Amino acid sequence: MRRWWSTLFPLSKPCWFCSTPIRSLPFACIWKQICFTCQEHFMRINGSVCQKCGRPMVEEENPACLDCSQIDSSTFTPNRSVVLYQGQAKKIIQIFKYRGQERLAVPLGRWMAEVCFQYYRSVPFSLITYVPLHENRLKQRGFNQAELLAQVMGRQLRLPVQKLLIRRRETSSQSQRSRKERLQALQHAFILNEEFDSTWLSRQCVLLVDDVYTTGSTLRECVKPLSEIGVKQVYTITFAR
Amino acid sequence: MEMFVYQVIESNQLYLSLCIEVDRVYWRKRGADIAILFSTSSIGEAYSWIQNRKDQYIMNGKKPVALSKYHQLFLSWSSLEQEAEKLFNLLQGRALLWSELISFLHKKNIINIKLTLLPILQLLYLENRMEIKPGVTCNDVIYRWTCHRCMSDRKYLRMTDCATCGKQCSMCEQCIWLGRSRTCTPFFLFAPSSIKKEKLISVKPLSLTAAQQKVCEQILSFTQSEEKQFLLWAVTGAGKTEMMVPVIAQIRSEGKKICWVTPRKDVVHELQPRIKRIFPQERVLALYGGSSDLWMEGDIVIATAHQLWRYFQAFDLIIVDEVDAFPLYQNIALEKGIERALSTGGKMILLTATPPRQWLEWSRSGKLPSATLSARYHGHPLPVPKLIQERRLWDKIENRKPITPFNHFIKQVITYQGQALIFVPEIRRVKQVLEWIRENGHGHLAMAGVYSQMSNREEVIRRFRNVELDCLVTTTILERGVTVPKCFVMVLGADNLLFDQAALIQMAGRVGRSSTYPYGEVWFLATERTEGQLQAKKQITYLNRLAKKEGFIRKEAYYQ
Repeated sequence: MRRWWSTLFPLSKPCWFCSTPIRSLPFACIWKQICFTCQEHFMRINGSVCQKCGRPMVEEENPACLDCSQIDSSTFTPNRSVVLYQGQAKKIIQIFKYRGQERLAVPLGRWMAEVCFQYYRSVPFSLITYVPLHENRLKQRGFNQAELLAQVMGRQLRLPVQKLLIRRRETSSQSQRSRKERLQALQHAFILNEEFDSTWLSRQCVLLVDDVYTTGSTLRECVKPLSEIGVKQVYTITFAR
Repeated sequence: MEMFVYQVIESNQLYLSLCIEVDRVYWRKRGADIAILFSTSSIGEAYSWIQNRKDQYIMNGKKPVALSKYHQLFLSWSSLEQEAEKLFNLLQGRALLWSELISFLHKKNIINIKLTLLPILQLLYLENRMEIKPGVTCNDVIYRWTCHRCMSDRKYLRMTDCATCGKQCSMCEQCIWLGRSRTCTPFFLFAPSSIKKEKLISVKPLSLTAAQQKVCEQILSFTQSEEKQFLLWAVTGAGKTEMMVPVIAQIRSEGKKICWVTPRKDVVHELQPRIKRIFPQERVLALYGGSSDLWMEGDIVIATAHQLWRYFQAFDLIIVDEVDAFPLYQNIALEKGIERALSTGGKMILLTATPPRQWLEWSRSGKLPSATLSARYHGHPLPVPKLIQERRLWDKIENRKPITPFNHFIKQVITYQGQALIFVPEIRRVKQVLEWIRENGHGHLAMAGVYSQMSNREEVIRRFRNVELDCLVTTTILERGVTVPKCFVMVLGADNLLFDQAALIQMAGRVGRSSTYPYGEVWFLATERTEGQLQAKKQITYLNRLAKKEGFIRKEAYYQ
């Protein structure tokens, strides 16, 4: 009996990250489509944030946090993130990136799109791009996690996704380095994709997507070639920080 | 990875190749020449090319792909054969993906093989000691798509763009925890070893009860028979592990390998030292996700069901514990995995305390040979659950209002100095129940909650086992495989859909497992009576009656 019963009255969609059945509406925000325990283990970034890097802040007097005020303000690109890179978020990113559970791009991307809408509501984006992987790494992993996220976001925000950047050098994994090494290692690692016309490009308002923000050096390096040809507005968004 | 499909000239047979130089030498030694028909970057494509071949494509009129240069082999032929022999001895009876094979070699400290690995594998393939398949086939109509690794169907397969082979690939989401299986990943099935050395097995002497003895004899005669499967219906706490010892000893003395499959990691943890103590000279492995024994060689392997996807006809006896439990029951992929790990002519023993109705019918009609053990090893009857109704149970718990029966239960646990195991249907209830107990005058008790996603779950369970906790609130994860001598069980919300007859019987079976502590009780507290509760009670009383009839029950005045 159970069989036809469950065909007639299917269970509601389970939590996106574990398979716990929950009650949710199909068009609810991602946060409401996550089960109770997962919610508990995600540290959402809410409230006041650093105006530059999107780090959660306690006091509201300073617009920028301590790290950001050290960096030259000419290379200023605003960044926002969805959650802190701790607990469940760390686990989920690992499953997504290293285990290769590509399905997870959907909730993560949608969640990022929601956050993007929340913070960057007034920004007139015209296209989305992502942090590229080196060819060898891409071949080894089989997919680019930032690209998948960007594609989901593009679908959600109705924006085209383009590969504007190319990674020129193969760098060893960022996650195994100290802060200082990270900041240096990536110098001039990215170049512009030559398929795109630079005068056309300079008129665009670009949203740059990545999965994790730690020191922000990867994103800053990605922005460099874009700002060199005169792209005025580049905003970045990451899932975790 | 570049793959080739070639044909041996003057024969109709097509072959796959990972390293075409080996094939050339191999066939030249046999006086034949080869013609390459097809080359690709994805094994899936090559495999389906062979599967869908039409005879007119082959050679007649079709120009073979010209290969500009052949590489030189790094090894002489004889040393290649030696290396292949060495590697094959390590890999016998395994089923591995490319990535697993690499980590296997890494674990065994065989690192310098990188350059010669492909020629060796190719030689094993040519000698028919290994089969190559793609991880997933997805060339055919969609309902025929399968993952060769876990044998799941299209439900778990997902088509994605693959940067590795530059094509559209299908990946399997069911077995992703063991490494990603996809269309362009080769999957190797190594033939099992055929040499079996007979040897003397030393077993720690055990004392079995008359009832256990009887079942053991039935099982031993089953291993001599033609039948493939055997169902053992033994009540919770009947001493299933001990009953398996004679059959394990016999199979091991023939030099054959044994696997004990359980659905849960916690049970593997508990079982491995016990088996090791009984068979001190055997290599007993514990395999589960994240186990340190991974890729080791063992004679008796205790594993979670998923690990059996990594074996190919390796075991002559597979004991499947708790067959009716999640995730094993009605999971076709796991079932097929177990089947694949069983050697031809191997035997399977299914252990359960709560067989599904269908199986009982099969056993009655003689389709499935079986034995029933209705008494526990100490001869006490099973504790019969008390069914109690309480209106608006969860409202009361949320608002921390008194619930008389629950309070009474906890008081009873305190008087008999027992430990309370409280089952709840949902994770979020764990906290609520803990707070209820605290607010209702039992704050002095040492309590904890446990559920599947908790990071320190093993630590909490260990503390409960060591009697550091008086009260443990848990979801169904502790329904099986936990033995605490002074246990009292309370099932809150026993009318939940999740708690069917089998689950309730299992939970009731946690009580009274020690012969020295006869006070344990089982209470089902629910808003309504459900079929599950009534059936559970009915089956427990039936088993007690059966045991009494067969004369295995010693003491009667055990429960009210």
